[in-house]
Amino acid sequence: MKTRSVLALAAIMGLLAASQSALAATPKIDARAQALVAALQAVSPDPLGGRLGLAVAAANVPAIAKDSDRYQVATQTTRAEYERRAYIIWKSSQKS
Amino acid sequence: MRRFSSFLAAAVGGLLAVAAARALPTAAQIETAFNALNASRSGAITPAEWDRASFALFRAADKNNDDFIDAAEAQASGIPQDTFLHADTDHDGRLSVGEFMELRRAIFRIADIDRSDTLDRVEYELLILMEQVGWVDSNHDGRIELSELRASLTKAFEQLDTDHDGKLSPAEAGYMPAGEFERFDTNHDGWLTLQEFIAGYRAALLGEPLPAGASTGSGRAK
Repeated sequence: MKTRSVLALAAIMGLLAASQSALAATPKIDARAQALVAALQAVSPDPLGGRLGLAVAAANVPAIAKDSDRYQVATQTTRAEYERRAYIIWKSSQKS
Repeated sequence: MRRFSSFLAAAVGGLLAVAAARALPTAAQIETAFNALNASRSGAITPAEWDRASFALFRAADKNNDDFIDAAEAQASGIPQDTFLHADTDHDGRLSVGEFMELRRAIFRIADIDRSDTLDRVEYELLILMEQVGWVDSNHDGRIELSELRASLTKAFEQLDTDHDGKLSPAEAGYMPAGEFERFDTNHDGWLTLQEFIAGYRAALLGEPLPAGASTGSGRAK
């Protein structure tokens, strides 16, 4: 009986320790993304490329080359949905 | 009075040029940003690395975490109104992840001047420069041609040359790594002329050897 209690207590302690390290790991991942954003903002205050981004947007330059299938998807709607899902997956990876 | 007006205009122009040049980050800041983007340390930013950074930038701009960037969030994040309006292709008054990524990927594609599907250190540095001075797609092909790059570099040179002596000192070209400045300075006089500036970038992009002992002074590039 005593052995069982000790084992149960050890298991609980182990679980607690594991959850603590998981909790501690979360801010590390977020901190990495924050450090990336800070480094990028130091050189490019506008995430959409300043005057180059404006020129690109105004010229309506396509994001995908006609001869490339890297991001090839059937329609604009499909692509938007693909982006949204990819972003949500990325976002959830920042929390787990 | 007219003389005073022209003096005032020149002074304001000079101050604006200084402000524009000062807005450029240092070589160390560009290096840090490049290394942060190039997480794999391969020496060139891949589309996947660019996408991950773009998601992080979108998340940072989306303050209320509703997966959209509205006009107020855009303004708070440094996105100019004109860019916001162009990027908002469905005109719903906010940027979706798709709209944001569309423009981010188009910027990647434009910055990939040698069309290698990656951005190396020089291309990234040029991207930062062109964010300041812009780019004109003269032939409307959606790519930066060398002639278009020359026009942007000439504009950048004029902004960087804050004392208007027709050449760049290491301090004026402070965004450049010291080694790059020395490589571009083919006549080793400690200054970069416009000719050396453009020839240096051209050689770096095309992998060509630099012409030795280019002319001194403020000669204009061909």
